[in-house]
Amino acid sequence: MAERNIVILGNGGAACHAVNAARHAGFTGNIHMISDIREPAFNPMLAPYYLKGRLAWEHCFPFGADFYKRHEVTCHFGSPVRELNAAARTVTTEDGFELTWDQCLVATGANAVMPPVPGLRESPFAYPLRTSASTRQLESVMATAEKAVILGASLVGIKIAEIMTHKKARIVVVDVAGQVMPRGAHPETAGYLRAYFEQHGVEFLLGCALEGLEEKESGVCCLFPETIVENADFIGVCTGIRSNLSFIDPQQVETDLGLLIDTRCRTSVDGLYAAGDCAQGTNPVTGQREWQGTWVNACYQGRTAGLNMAGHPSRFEGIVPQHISPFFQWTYAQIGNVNVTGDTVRVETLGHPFEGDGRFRLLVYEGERLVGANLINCTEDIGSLKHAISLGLSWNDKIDRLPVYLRQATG
Amino acid sequence: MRTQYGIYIDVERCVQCHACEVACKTTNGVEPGVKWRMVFDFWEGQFPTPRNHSIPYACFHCAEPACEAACPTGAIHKRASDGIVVIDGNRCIGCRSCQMACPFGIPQYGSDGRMQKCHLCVDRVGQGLAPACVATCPAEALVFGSMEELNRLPALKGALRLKRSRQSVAP
Repeated sequence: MAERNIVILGNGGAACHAVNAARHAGFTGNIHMISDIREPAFNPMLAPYYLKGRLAWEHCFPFGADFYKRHEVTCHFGSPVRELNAAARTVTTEDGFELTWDQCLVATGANAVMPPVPGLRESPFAYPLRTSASTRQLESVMATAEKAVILGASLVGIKIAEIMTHKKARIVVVDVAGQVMPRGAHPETAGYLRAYFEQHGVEFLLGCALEGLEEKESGVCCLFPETIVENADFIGVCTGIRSNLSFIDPQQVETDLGLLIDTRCRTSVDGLYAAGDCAQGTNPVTGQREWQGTWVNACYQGRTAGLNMAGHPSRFEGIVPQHISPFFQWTYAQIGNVNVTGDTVRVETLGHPFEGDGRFRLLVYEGERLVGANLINCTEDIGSLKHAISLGLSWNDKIDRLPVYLRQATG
Repeated sequence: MRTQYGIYIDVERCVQCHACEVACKTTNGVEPGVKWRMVFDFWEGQFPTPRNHSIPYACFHCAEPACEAACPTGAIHKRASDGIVVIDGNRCIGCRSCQMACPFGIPQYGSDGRMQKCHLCVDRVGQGLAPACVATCPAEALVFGSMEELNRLPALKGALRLKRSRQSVAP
């Protein structure tokens, strides 16, 4: 009996990990990959490192150009998917190419969200950061920009702001939330981060939204409820991403913010899998299916989908939201949910980022269970902390610094 | 994969001398503040029956390395020939994604801005030698070999224990 074929929509981290896992598991059938981009898989997470001069351009493509030949992938690049017909098990691209699939992995990632501000999408000064092309565009613009407005006080927005400070530009970071890192930072942590970034020349407009733009000869005026930032010559759009699923019929496949998947990355359609920024898996702490747009989550899901498609049952129980990143001379990490509320919630802090050795740790508990953490300059135990949160454990510095799995081995 | 190398750790033999840590640091030139092999000592229980545990551990070169999947640049990979998980310093950007991914706290940040960890003394292994920690351990708490060989050790140890317990009660 001929081995079933695998069709993968997308060419990013999830897609390539799926290919790698399937081939290593012994899958010898045809693997097709469909993508709108005609180049090797690009990791958007690396764009700020490249723009900072920390990484060579070719290393922004972690799998390399020869990945597809090495893994015997038939590539159909240059045309996006127009339609996926789950009932007929076909996929059709914009240029009319059609493939029938036995198993299909949707790994089409996500696109940058452009806030619905009049004139923003068309403005020649507005730059989202998501693809290799937009990274190259940013590189040339950032070299000469003198006044930057960055929409989104998120991890990406602050990274762009950091790069701009090195270019000696004036930078204003804007967010509708009242704090920096609104999704993962506790208000106490956010306060420290804001103060640190301000020390490095970043200005903030928080709790307000961009309302409009007025193009001028010398740049663009950004209109806010109570102020105007004049003559901006660079608007960085870092307001989040949204799953790329325009070709999916939600009547055929269960969808929320992304395609809903189980622990084997299976969707509601037999033989149809999803992984990465277009998928919505489980948060092991809340037990809910939550969308997470991180490279590591995409890679784990891709690997799991690949193994299952190759006939090797594999489960991925999901990961808690997590980010770690250097900012200027600090290293900041956020894990889990630090903004839970309720009578059993308590917060423990240790150290202070502006005093002593500059180490700060904030742990959030629900009852005895650790549910979230923020760390500044003390990430040595972050792996153990993250797994304690994932497993729903407590934390005791005396013994829990020993990785949880090893402690269990002592009996 | 042709073979998977590993290290068997007999926690009952470990005497907490930390010689393995020193051997690792001197052999690999590991900088102060960073440890590729760590000996974790902790106490449990209360008087009169406290228990002390000592666990020497380093990278476990996992079958499905979490660090490899998490690395955004592809700097970490598991070698097909021997299963050793290595970090390519030329591609590493020191983002610490691997540090966050590893449940054992293995990858560590170096002063050169890159991540580093145990690589099973690849150069020594390539010459047919055991890793420095294994060669040094005075209590023979660390045993190097293929996983096929190492997987037999717990059963051997159990059989020896059973044999001794029977001998001790024999008339």
